[in-house]
Amino acid sequence: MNRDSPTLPTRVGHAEWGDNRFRGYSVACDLAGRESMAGLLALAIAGRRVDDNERLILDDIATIISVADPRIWLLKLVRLTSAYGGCNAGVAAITVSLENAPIGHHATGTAAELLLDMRRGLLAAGADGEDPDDRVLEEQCRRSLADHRQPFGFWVPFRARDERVEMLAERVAARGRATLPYWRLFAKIADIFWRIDNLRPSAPVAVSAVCLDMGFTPVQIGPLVTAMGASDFWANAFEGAAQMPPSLQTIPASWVRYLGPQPRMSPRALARQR
Amino acid sequence: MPRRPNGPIEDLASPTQIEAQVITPGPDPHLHGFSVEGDLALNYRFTEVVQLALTGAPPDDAKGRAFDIALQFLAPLAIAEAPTHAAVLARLIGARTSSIVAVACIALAERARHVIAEHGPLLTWLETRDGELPSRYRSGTAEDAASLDRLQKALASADVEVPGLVGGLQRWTALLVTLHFAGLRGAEQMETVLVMASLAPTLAEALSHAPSDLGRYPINLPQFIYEEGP
Repeated sequence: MNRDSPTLPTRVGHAEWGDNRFRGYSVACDLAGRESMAGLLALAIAGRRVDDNERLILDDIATIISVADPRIWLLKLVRLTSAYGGCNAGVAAITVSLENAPIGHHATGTAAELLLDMRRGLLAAGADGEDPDDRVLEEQCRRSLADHRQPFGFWVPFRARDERVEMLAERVAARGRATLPYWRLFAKIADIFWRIDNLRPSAPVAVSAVCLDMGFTPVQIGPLVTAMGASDFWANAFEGAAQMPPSLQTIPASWVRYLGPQPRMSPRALARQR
Repeated sequence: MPRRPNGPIEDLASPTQIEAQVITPGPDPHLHGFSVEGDLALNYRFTEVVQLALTGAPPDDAKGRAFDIALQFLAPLAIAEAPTHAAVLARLIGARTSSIVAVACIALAERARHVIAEHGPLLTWLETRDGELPSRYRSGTAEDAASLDRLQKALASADVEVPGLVGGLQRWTALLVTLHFAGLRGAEQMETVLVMASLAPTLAEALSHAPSDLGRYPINLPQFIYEEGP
């Protein structure tokens, strides 16, 4: 590459006269009227068109992962950053915050790594990666517990079980996807962790199983689910920006408990006194 | 409108106060216990207050001077660099000033994370001084030598001697060695300083461009080559 006139390859898009290309497709002829928002996001990130069944389950995921309560940490962050009237600022702040964070939709990619690790472990142990013997899988789960104490994706805040996992299981079955390998692996692991350590799965690990069954990779799954879960961010940012609530711009001082050092004089102030 | 029944958050016992560790709320704010308006403003420069904020202790004169000089060396980031380029683009599309500031902060923070990650072994070495400085952080280029010479002269003019600031260092290495001398530790503090150092000059470059003046921007630079197929 000539350093003075560098070029960059792209497979994303090309502006043309009368039409535009997106990921290898004509926006006018191939996508307009034919592709859904979820399908477009999958195409954007994974670079392939999903089929009708996949498009529907992605829509199901986008709906099911919604927990829009503004008190939840991620959404409180949206409220705080949109509290001065900037709607997009709230969405930008949470989007940046989620990159590689262990909490939030981006963590679905990390949860996918857990399932892939499990499958790799099964294969390394000579077990069937698609339909493993329960005893072999239990051994894997016990090892994961020994290594991590709380395997990623098996922590449900505030409640005994994550209602989104149950909603998703219902939709996965309704879409005929419950027999796909990663969903079956997830279901077995969830049963084992519950039996041996009372751990329940949270939505990211369940969603990651569906995404792995679609052939998406962990690095694709994190951004994809972040984008699909953005309706909660936009709802809170929009309402928060409209409200511009003084009670969020500055919370009452009585709500703050200061735990830092007590008042003291700086070395230079002390030196001046002497 | 009828209230919804309690959910998990209402039924969960949670703290009723948010905890603060560094800044006292209310009038006469204190930073790590020092009154900003009654003490620090009288006895310390702004950059020294930044040092105090990050490290928890007011710097002595030598560390304060070294930090100030390192910040000045870190400050300018030309439009050739992604954070300034991005901030200028935000300006050119007519973004609000607050959005331009936000764009600059995001890009500067990403750049800082990238730079500091590349210098992780250097930061470890600075803590232990175990063995030789990793060779990847040395340099034989005239550019680096000239920059190091300017840094040494600036520090000498302030009567500051930074141990380890010897010939043959890359520019980044020299600046991180100086920040370490100034009391900065670890990736979190270093990344914060890198963002802070360049924010004002980056924004100055962006704000010097006319809003929405897109016709002067070279849209096809660099060229992206669109590819389709497997």
